[in-house]
Parts: sequence; structure tokens; C-alpha cells
Amino acid sequence: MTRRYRLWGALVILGCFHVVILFADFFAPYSFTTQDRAMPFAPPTRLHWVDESGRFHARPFVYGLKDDPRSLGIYQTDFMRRYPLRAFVDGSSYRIVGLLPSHLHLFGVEEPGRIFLLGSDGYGRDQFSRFLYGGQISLLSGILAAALSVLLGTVVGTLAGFYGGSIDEALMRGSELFLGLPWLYLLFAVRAVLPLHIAGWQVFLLLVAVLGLVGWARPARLIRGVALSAKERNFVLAARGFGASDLYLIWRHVLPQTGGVVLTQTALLVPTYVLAEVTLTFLGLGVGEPLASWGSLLSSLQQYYVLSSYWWMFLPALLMAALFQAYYTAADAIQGRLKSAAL
Amino acid sequence: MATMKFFRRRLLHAAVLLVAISFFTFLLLELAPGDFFEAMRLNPQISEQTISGLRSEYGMDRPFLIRYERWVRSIFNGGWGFSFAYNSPVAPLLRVRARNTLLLTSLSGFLAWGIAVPWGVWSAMKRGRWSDRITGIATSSLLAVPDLLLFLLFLLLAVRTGWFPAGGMISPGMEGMRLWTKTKDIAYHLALPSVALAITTLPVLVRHVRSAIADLLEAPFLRAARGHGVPPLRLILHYALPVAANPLISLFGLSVATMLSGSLLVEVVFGWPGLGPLLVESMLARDVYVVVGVVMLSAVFLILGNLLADVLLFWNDHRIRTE
Amino acid sequence: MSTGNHHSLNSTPVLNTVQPLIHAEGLGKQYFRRQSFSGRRLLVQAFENVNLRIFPAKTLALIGESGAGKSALGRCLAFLERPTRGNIWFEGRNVTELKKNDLFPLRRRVQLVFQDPTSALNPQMTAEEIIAEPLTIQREGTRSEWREQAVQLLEQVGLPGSWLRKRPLEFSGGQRQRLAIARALALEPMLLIADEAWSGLDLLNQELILKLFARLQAARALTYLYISHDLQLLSRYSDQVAVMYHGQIVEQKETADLFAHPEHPYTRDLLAAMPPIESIYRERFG
Repeated sequence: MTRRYRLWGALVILGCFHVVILFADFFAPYSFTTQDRAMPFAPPTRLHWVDESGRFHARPFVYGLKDDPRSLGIYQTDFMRRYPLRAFVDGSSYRIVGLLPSHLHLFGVEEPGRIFLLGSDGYGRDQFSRFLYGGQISLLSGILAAALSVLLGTVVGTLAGFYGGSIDEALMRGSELFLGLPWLYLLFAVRAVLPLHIAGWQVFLLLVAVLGLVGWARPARLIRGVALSAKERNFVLAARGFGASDLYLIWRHVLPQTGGVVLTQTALLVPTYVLAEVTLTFLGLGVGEPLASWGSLLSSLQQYYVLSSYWWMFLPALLMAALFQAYYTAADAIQGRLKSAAL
Repeated sequence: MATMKFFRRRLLHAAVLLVAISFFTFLLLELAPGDFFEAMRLNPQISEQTISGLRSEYGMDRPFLIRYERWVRSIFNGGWGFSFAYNSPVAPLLRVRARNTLLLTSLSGFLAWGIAVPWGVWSAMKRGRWSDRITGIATSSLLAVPDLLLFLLFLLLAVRTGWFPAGGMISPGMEGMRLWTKTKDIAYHLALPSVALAITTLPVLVRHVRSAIADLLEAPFLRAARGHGVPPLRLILHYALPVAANPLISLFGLSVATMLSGSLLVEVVFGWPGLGPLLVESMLARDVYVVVGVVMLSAVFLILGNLLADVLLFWNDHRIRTE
Repeated sequence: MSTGNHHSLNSTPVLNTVQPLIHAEGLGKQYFRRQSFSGRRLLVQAFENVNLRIFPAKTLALIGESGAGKSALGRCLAFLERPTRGNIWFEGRNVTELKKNDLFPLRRRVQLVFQDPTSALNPQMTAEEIIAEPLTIQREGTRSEWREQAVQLLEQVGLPGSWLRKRPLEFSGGQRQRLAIARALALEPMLLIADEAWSGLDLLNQELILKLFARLQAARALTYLYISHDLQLLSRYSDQVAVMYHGQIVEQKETADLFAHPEHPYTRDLLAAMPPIESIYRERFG
């Protein structure tokens, strides 16, 4: 019983993340390049319902910030300036899924107020907006790469399991080789092939390709197991008795049995690949400016003063951890369901 | 003898693999447009002639196969190619960095396995109960945390508390000190990165140990032994572990690869002078022979690790068989 | 072809004027089994030197102990496996060496019903899909025709036609076997091989299934090969009995003849092990 709640809980969280990131243009108050040089490293903006004179406002508001005259780089709340939170504001224009033009944003505050839900970085860019836009890159690369790996793994695993014999031997030897590779090193080696300053989308595609091509081994082995046991089942034998071709048997009887494993493996691989992209960008080898990726959000933490003074720069990483946890929980729950269905 | 044949095959396999990797990496870098000297073009004071002169001096204008062959030769005579950035043969660079990486990864490995095995066994013995559940939750939460975040948090700990140095391997001014002082200093620097790396590899190990032992505890032969009154500790050590050793040794072989990948990031974040930072900076600088050297060396480590795992497997299995 | 009472023990043997539907000579099958520890490969002989004739609209019972190779023989005769030796003639035609494509049209003539219906039915498919599968594979007719046929077949095996959308898990053991039989009938085969098709069921269902087989045989003039270890059960439903012992056919006779004049010692043991009806009756009812 609890397992079902866990699965649904995880799926809801995943759904929220993905929808919000997909429609980043709508949910983000600012674009990922909007800078405010006057407000570098501003802490996360607090929402207030009660103002300094004790009055309650139904509509929450934020205060402006001004520099603390005593120390540089620290901000003080400016109680003179109040900016109410508005919903469905007009903001920068964009295209919904690249087609329909719009300039509606979920929330915002009037200029020159700022609402930095996760604080701002060294250039005064809103971390929350950059998290959403960055997610488009990082999450998408993870998902695409995972899909590629699982697809390859399914093809290889099904062929190896179904046909057995020398095909199986050869394919499994190959998978051993890939399993033993340190994929991060491989990723780096391939990245080294590319010129340092190629277009962001090309790095993106190549990242997806390398990750996808390297990681097929584990799903392949698991799917091979499923195919092996499926082909021994009597209903496969019966279908052979009707004159079924190998392709029909694979399509109709073997592949449907792999569904559970495919889902689990995808759910497990996505976080791994997202992390790979984040690591690469963090080290300066992934997608570059101006494209934002979660790695670029975290890269400023390499400097000690950022690391020790500006705690909100960690927040994107915490959100990532929550996302990964949701994926792993979902994978666990699916696996649990598979086990109990097999009994 | 079957043993000899087995090893000969594995060694041959390893040798073929190394050659393939070296060729492939070299080829990969060959495809990369631009080289180390490209960066010099940005400097208007350096003329084209100087650049092309430097190129031919370092032999970078020769065809691919010639360069590959020269590089292979340099492997055998101990040079391992030449680093443009450091202006020295690659081998001594690799030696120092490799030593540092090995220090870090072996310490991490000991820590990780040293904690994982007892924890996993304990959790298996208490399976189904609260303590086991908590283990499950702890491991899955740890798994979900991105390694990067963990490393940064540890670094933050160092910076904020000052208990540990925040990166590097040796404090300035320590080189001339006596061995004991130096060792203590290095140990301080080593503490955080090795613990951090160990923590990232821990959850998977704990889970595998737990599942291997838990399966065994259900096995008839073990239940019979328990029925005979064998005390739990002896049960684990003499009955369960030897049999569980097989899958665990295979796990060890696989974990070498993960540990290698993990060490790269931890070294960069903590500024530990190992192979990781060397790889990153030589990639950024297009220092070709260094990149190839590092990749090759890590492949060697990987192969050695797997070979070690095979040896252990064989030895362990052999013993069981002859009993 | 005779449509008379097949249960009669007094039917005379059919004379040589009728051709057997399926006829095997010198059939043998061996396969390799790998010993997991030493890695050596052992040669296992499933059956050898088997001569069998099954006549149209007649029933042959193949009796033997478990592991005697009966199932393997059944699979060879159903064209699911190839024998390593010997020949098989089907309707007078040598089919042993046929290639896959030539074998394709023959497959509809012979069908196998498995012992365990649960493993023989894909749990993810509905009853309609299961029954229509042979039609799909052999590309016979349209989708609406398949549905009609599925309903008819369900009713012929005694299941409600409205159960088309149900999945195997929703059926009981006996019902699943009926579903499997309905599927086997979809292509209107001439020869049906039942490999212990009743063994997994309780006694009542066993009888019901056998009665169903008998009904179908009468309605469609089917030929049957029953494979079992239970001579007593099949004695009432078969015209001929072949006894298999250690991979060889040791005796083959008309049923009544076998009971009256068993020759091989194994046959004698089998018969001796069957409790006579009278003693059962006396035990129970005094």
C-alpha cells in the first residue's frame, strides 16, 4: 500500500519539475540572461504579508534592497520600498513551445523591485529563472541520453537473449568491455575532440550521443535476461507452432515483457546522465555561455568566497538532489511492482 | 595447467585492450581541430613562422601514423610523449600525479569497503526490521545526492570550520620539513577528499553486500549451521563471507571504474594534485600527449584492477572447489 | 472415415487399405546438455528408433513414465523440433527435411496442446487475441472474421462467448486449458497432440477435458495423439496404445488387445499397477 503512495508521490514531483521546466518561459519571472549589475549575490527574496507597521496585506509583497553602508556586498532591507507580488504579469516575450508568441509570466514584481526566489549570482541574474532554463538543457540531455542508452540496450539485449549462441557471446563480451570503462574519462576524451568554442547545441548533441552510446551495457544485460526467460515460455513455443517468424515473436511476446525493466532502467539512468552533463559544464567543458545549464549555476562555487558567504548558491544542487530522489524512488517502486507481479 | 592458461588469456586480452585504447584515443585527438599552438595565435606578437617552427620542432606537423609510432616508441623508452605546457616528458608528470591519485583512491577504497562490509552484513542480519529500513533510506538518499554537491559541502565545511585545509595537498612551506610533520600535513589534506569520495561509493556497496548476505542467510546450509548452534560471528566469517565473496569480488572489479571516475571530480574540487586536474587542464590547453597519457594510465589501472579481481575470484573459487 | 463409437473396446483394427495420417519411422532425437561444473557436454538421447502410425480420426495414446521422452516426441511430431534421425511422413509426404517456408502451410494441420495452460498463454493478451493469434500469424481472414471465429470457438469449448476480453488470469485452471484448446482449433487442424493436457487439473476437470476432446473429435473428425503416464485414464478414450520405455516404443497395439495380451514386461507392470475397478468399488462401498 505504501508503495503505491510512494510511486504516485514520486511521479507527482517528477511531473511538477518537468512541467515547470518545460514551460520555463512562463514560470520564470526573468530570462536567463537578464542581469542586474546593481544586485550581485543578493540573497533569496523574502515574501512578507505583514508590513513594518504591523498591517496585514492579503497580497504578499517584497522589499527593495539597498547596500549596507557598513560592509561592502551585504544588503539591507529597504523598508521604504514595497513591491506587491503580481500574478500573470507582462514580461519578456517568448514563444510557447517555440510556436505561439506570448509575454505572460506566472508572477513578478514591478520594476525596479526584484524577486529572486533563489537569490542572484555575481552578475545579478535571477537564480530561479536560470534554474528553470538550465533545467531545459541539463534535464533534456539526461532524458535523451537515457532514452538512447535504453533503446540500444533493448535492441542488443533482445537479440542476444533471443538468439543465444555466438551472437549472445559476442554481444555480452562487448558489454563487459563497456561496463568496465570509466565513462567519465571517456566523456572527457570525446569532449577533448571538440574545439573548445563550438556552438552550445553541438556540445549538447555530442554529450547526449556519447553518454547514450557508452551506457547501453547494463540495460542490455538485464533485458537479455528477460528475453532469455521469455523465449522459453510455452506461449512462444505455441506461436512457433503456428508458424510465427522470429520478428513476430520478438515483437509480440518478448518485447512487451521488457516494459518494466525498460522503465526502471530509464528512471535510473536519467539522474546519472544529468549529473554527467552538470559535472562537465561545472568544469567548463560543457555547454558554454550564454546557455545556462545547472552546471554553470554551480560553477561559481569553485571560488572560496562564494562557497563560504553565499549559501543560496547551493540551492540548485539541493533541488537537483530532490529531483534525483524522485527518480530513484520511482525506479524502486516500479521494480517493486515488477517483483510482486512476477509472483 | 588451467591456471596458467587462464592468466595467459587474460594478459593477452589486457594487452590487446591497451593497444586498442591507445590507438583509439590518439585517433580521437587527431580528429580534434586545432592544437596546443593554436592558442598562441591570439598573441599578435608571435608570428606565424614562429608557430609553424615550433610545430615542426615538436613534430606536430608529421603525419598521424608517424606520430603514433613515435609515441609508442616513447612508451617503451619511458618518455610517454612530451608535454608542451610543462615542457617536459609526460612520464614524470604522470608518475607524480598517479601516485597522488592512487593514494587518494586506495584510502577511499579501504574506507568505503571497510564501512560497507560490516554495515551491509549487519543490515542483512537485521533484515526486515527498523534498522534495516533506516539503512535502506540512508543509502537511497545518499545515492540521490549529486557527488558534486557532496564535495562542495565538504569543502564548505573545511572553509567554515578551519579544521581541515581547504584543498591542495601540502601546506606552503612544508616541503622542507621532516617526514613525520610532512606526513601529518598530507594526512590532513587527504582526510576530507578521501572521506567524501568514500561516501559517494558507499551506498551501492552497502546495498550489494546486504543483498548478497541476506540471500545467503536464507540458504539451507547456513540455517543448518545456525541450528547446530554456531555463533553468529563465526557464521558470518566462516560460512557466509567465503561464499558471498564471489559476487563481491566481481563488484570490486566493477567499482574500480566508478572510483576512478569519481576521483577525477573530487581531485578537481579539492585541488588535490592527481590525474584528474591534470586531465582537465591539458584538455583545455590541448596538450595532446598528456591527455593520451592520462587516458592510457587510467586504462592500465582499470585493467590491473580487473585482473586483480579475477585473480582473487580464481583463488577464492579454487579454494572452495578443492574443499 | 468411420464416425462410429470410439469408446468401444471391440473395434477391429483398421486394415492396410487406409493410409496413416502421420507416420514416423526410425525417429530419434538427441541433444546436448552442458554440465555446469566441468563444462563438459553430455549427449542425452530423448528417444530412438521410434516407429509410429496414427490413423485418421483415430486416437493413439502414448504412455510412458516421466522423462521417457514422450514430450520430445510429441514436439517433433508437431513440427516444433526436428528429429536428429529418422523420417516423418504426413499425409504420405516426407516432411522431415522441409525448410521453414515449406513447413509453414503444414503447421495448421498439426497442433499441440500443452500440459500447463498458464505458461502456454501470454498473460498480457486477451482471450480474443489468444485465439486469433494463429489466424494472425497465418494471415487468414479479416479482423472481424477473427472475432466471430473466436466467439464460436469459445462456445465450442464450453466457455461463454462474452469472455473475449478477459485475460488468462481471470480464468480457472480448467477454463484456461479450454482456452488453449480453442486456440489450437482455430486453424482447423487435422491432428491434435495433447501433451498431458489434463495433468495439471483436478479429477473432475480431467474428465471434462477428455470428454471435450471426444466431442470435438466426433464433430470435426480429428485425429489425436494423447501423451500421458496415466494408462487407466486414457484407456477409455483411445483406439490404440503405444508404450514407451526409456526412449523406445516397446509395444503398440489396439487398446483392448493390449489389456488382454500385454507382451513387454513394462506393459505388464503398468497394468499390474492399475487397481481393478472391482477392488476400488469393494473398498469404497463394502
